[in-house]
Amino acid sequence: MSARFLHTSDWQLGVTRRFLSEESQSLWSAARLDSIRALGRLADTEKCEFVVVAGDVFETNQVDRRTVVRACEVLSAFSVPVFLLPGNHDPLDAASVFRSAAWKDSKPKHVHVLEEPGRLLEVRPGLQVVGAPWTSKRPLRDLVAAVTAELSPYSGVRVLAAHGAVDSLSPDPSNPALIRVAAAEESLTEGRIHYLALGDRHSLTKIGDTGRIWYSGTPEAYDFDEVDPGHVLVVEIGDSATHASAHQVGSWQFLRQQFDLSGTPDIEALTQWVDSLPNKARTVMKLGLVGTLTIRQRALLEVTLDRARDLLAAVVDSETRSELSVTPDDSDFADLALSGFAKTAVSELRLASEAGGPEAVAARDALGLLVRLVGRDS
Amino acid sequence: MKIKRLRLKNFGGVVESEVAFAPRGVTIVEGPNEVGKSSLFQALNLLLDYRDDSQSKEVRAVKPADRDVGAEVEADLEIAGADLTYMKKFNRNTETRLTIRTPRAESLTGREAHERVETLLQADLDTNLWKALRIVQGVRVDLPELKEQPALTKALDRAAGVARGSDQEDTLFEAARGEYLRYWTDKGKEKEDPIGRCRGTVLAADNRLQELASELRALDSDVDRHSQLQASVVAARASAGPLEDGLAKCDALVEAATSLRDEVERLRATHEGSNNVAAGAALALESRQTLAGSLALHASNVEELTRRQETLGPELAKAIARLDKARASRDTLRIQAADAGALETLRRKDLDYWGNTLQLEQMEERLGRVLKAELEASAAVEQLATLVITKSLRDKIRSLDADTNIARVMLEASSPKLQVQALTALDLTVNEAPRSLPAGDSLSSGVPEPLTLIVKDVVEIRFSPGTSDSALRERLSAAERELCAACEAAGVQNFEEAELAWASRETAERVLTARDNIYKDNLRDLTRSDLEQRIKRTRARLDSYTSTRPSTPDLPGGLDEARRLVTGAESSAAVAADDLSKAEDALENSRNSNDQLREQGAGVTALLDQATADLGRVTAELAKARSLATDSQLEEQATRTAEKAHSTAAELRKAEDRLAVADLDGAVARRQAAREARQDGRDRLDKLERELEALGVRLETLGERGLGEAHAECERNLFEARSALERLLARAAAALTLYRALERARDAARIAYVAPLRESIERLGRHVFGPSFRVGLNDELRVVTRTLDGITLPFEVLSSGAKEQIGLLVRLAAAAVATGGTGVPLVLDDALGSTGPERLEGIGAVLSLAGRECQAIVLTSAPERYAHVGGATHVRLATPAQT
Repeated sequence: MSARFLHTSDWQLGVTRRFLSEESQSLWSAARLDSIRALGRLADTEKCEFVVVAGDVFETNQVDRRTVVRACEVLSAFSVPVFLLPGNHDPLDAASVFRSAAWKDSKPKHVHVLEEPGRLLEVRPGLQVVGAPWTSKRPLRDLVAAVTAELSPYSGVRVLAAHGAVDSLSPDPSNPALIRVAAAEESLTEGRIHYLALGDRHSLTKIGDTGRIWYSGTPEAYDFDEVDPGHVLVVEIGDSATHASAHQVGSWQFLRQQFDLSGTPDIEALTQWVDSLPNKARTVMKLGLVGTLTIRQRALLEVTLDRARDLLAAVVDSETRSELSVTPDDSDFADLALSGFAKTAVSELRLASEAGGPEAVAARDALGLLVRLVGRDS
Repeated sequence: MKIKRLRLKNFGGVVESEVAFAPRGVTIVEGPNEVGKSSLFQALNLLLDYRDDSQSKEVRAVKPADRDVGAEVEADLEIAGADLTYMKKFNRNTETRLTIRTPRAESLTGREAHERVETLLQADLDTNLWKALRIVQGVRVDLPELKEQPALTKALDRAAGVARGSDQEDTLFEAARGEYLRYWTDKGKEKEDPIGRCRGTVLAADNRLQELASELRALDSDVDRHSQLQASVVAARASAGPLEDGLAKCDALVEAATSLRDEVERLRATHEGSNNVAAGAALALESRQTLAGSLALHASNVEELTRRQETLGPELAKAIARLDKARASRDTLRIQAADAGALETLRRKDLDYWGNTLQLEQMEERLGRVLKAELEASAAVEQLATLVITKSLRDKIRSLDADTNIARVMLEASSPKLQVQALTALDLTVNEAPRSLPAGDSLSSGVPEPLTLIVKDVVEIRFSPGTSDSALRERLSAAERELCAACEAAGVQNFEEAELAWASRETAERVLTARDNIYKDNLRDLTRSDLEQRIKRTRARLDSYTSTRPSTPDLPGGLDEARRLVTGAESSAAVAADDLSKAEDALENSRNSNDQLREQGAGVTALLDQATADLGRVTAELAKARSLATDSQLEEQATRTAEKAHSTAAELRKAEDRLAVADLDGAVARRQAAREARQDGRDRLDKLERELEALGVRLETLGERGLGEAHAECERNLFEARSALERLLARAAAALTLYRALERARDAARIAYVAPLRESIERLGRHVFGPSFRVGLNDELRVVTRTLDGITLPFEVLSSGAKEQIGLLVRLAAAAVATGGTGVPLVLDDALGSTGPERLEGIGAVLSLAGRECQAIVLTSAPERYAHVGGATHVRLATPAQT
């Protein structure tokens, strides 16, 4: 009794991130297809017998036709059977993408949708795949338990693909669809299933101690709060043990970084950090900036941030972690040699910038503009 | 700069002239026109501005026209603290010489001297202000150009306590304004491009996002609905079986009840047959009884009508007798009435006869008057034919006769008189006219013409008139001739005949007039012939009546009797007619009564005939019926059939009770309800399946549209647009804040900047215009308004005098303000031409005040205009200095 296969999930093809520019969004979409190509190649090199995708193949059932066709085109290059499970993003409801004309017209023959709960699909004699698909966005029971209850012990290898939160990580008594890990482990013990391939959680995560229940995580990073995304699992089930190994296929990274800025050196350090980042075009950065800067320093920071925006896929302001104040300083205006009414106006704006509120921000920006205008003309 | 002394030699038209000025206060340089006052400062300008070898037009212009010498200018000046004497000679034997006495003695010549003075001037004198403040002769005193005058500007900056800023600030302001105008309009509203456009992008993206969200919600709703429908279809299919079973049970119950209903119908038909037979027997018995009753009734009727017929015969005979009597009476009265009518007619004709007779007599009288008048008129016409005289001839003759008599009397009065006294009876002949003159009588006559008096046989005495009255005689002759001619024309011999002839004419004409009147009165609209014809016809009619009238009764004797007889005949005829009418009415009544009796008799006869016939018919019918069935047979048949009908009715009621228990209608209704329930189930299932199918198709179609991905993409677009808008608004707010701050500061600085000059003008101006004098200055230091007694007017609308005075005040104030640092002298060359005497005193005081702070030089040909300038130094330019 043995089997070797590739476990992945949460491709979420067709997903869009609002903070990405149009160009970055195109890169992002292409990268997700690239990661699927990569895992297809990995399946070959790792001699996997099949690929199981444990839910959320698509971001939504209402994806663009091109997204479906391109996904099918990528899948057509796979040399092993691929089993796709409808998840909470793409449930098998009346509007399911898996029932769309685009899907039906384009689906490669070796790609199978696990449409019917508990239906056993034989990869080869002694190797079965069974699914617990989502048929609506709000299931009212533990779909894994419902499927395993109908299964008998199997002498071969039987892989169950399921999707959703497990009670051990997300204990929520009000959620009837939580997957009860204990029940699943009991099924494993009784030989009704031999591996539970889970999806929904984007981080690569092992569940329980059996070594046979895993979240593969998303093959391509999606958000800042993911842990170790960008992997797929190559699972090998033997007579005595089960081994799951993670393989990197993703190329994007979501970085969250905080900087304490109190002067020009700090800004320069931030600049160097940005410059040192690898793979900048596939990096999304969320900056938390704290500290106090002068008008000129603030202008310098803006130059750095503008450069970062140009280099990176996106720079996202951290609203909760930013507490950067700008305080006009005499040094901001010392070398401008302003006199007369301009000097009076600067004094007025400095006073306003200290008052707080939107007017203070406008006054601070006005001072920044003044410095820029004088600098431009000088 | 201070000007202490100026000396000109061979300068234009001036041979030599020298003037010393007070270094502080007012110097009034007096002199008549063309004495060279203006040349003083023309010379100073050349001295300061041009090198001695200059070939400029201005320099060449000052060379004396009549001498080949150079123009020479020398001045004692105080420039930038240096006390110096500066001299230049132009055009010929050119020369420049500078002697500085303090603070350090220097003596320079040529270009070196010129450049040294320029250096000093640059340090001291605001050349533009110097020129601006100078009032040149012949040029209207207007507001000076004080903008961009460094000396004044510095002084104002010092007074305002702030520096106005350099060009850098102005450049900054313009740059800030440029930045502001990128986002805002002049009036501070957001510009459509870029802010409005950016807002539009956000709004469009938001709207699109809402649309997509709405479509997605609808799609989710459809998905849920699809799921519900699937469950409903399964449930509907499951409930179809029980409905079919229920319907089968209802069908069986209805079938059983229907059989019962058919049995009831059959029994009901049997019962109805029995009922009909019984009813027929009862009807036959009733008919027999009715026929017997009818026979008795007809017999009674015949008897009654027979009695009635017997009483009507005598009544009819009496009525006929009354009718005959009435008819005879009526005929008698009809004859009497006709007679009375004939008599009345005859009497009316008689009355007409007498009326016509009277009319005939009247017509004959009228004809007689006409004939008589015609006869008289005929004689008058004949007489008129013989009369020649006319009214004019008659009048002429009368006049001539009077003339003749007058001539005669005059002649007689002038001619000798013959007086014969008969002593005895004498027979005389006077002009052959025999006269007898008894004794004692006398004859007296004039002798207007020869007169012969013969006493027969006694004496013949001839008298001849003298020649002295020949004229009178001639007049008399002429009168007589004319009279004679007139009479001859009138067909008469003399005057008397003429009178008679005229009287005849008048008489004849009156006769003709009378004839016309008679015609009019008697013939009226007729001719005489018409009247004669009428008379003829009337007479013939009367003759005809008398010949045809019956002899009796007699013709009345006259008109009055005829009238009386007509009245009597009319009365008799009326009485006869009334009697006849009454007889007619009585006859009609009798006739009607007779007719009624006749009709009654005929009616009774007809009824009797009918009744007799009916009685015969009924008797025959009854006999015939009884021959077919006797009365007792009919009674027995009726009893038997009634009993049979009663039996079938009881049987029918029992069957109906069973049918009621089976409740056919209820069973049918329940079966119908079961059928409808089954159909409803089928329909519901069909509807659900159709809806499910349609929803599936729609979802398939919607799924193809990629709404979810489009929604996410739209959300990303909106986020991008909002971010862009926020950044744009932040930049716009910064530009707005900066521009407004700069604007406020600049405006405040301007107000502070112009204040010293304005205050200085107002302080000086109060001496001229009074304590309420105020002025308003713009950024360019130009006076734009003047306020007096609370009334503010634009400078442009002020009188030329007021403008001149304010222009002078501005110069004095500017000079005073500028003097605080590097002052310039104020030069007035023949100014205040438009200022009235009432203002000159105030202007004088102002000049005195200004003189305390700067050097003022007044050049004038009318020194009395400056008599009010206190403490002034007066210098008079002598005429001999000119060529």
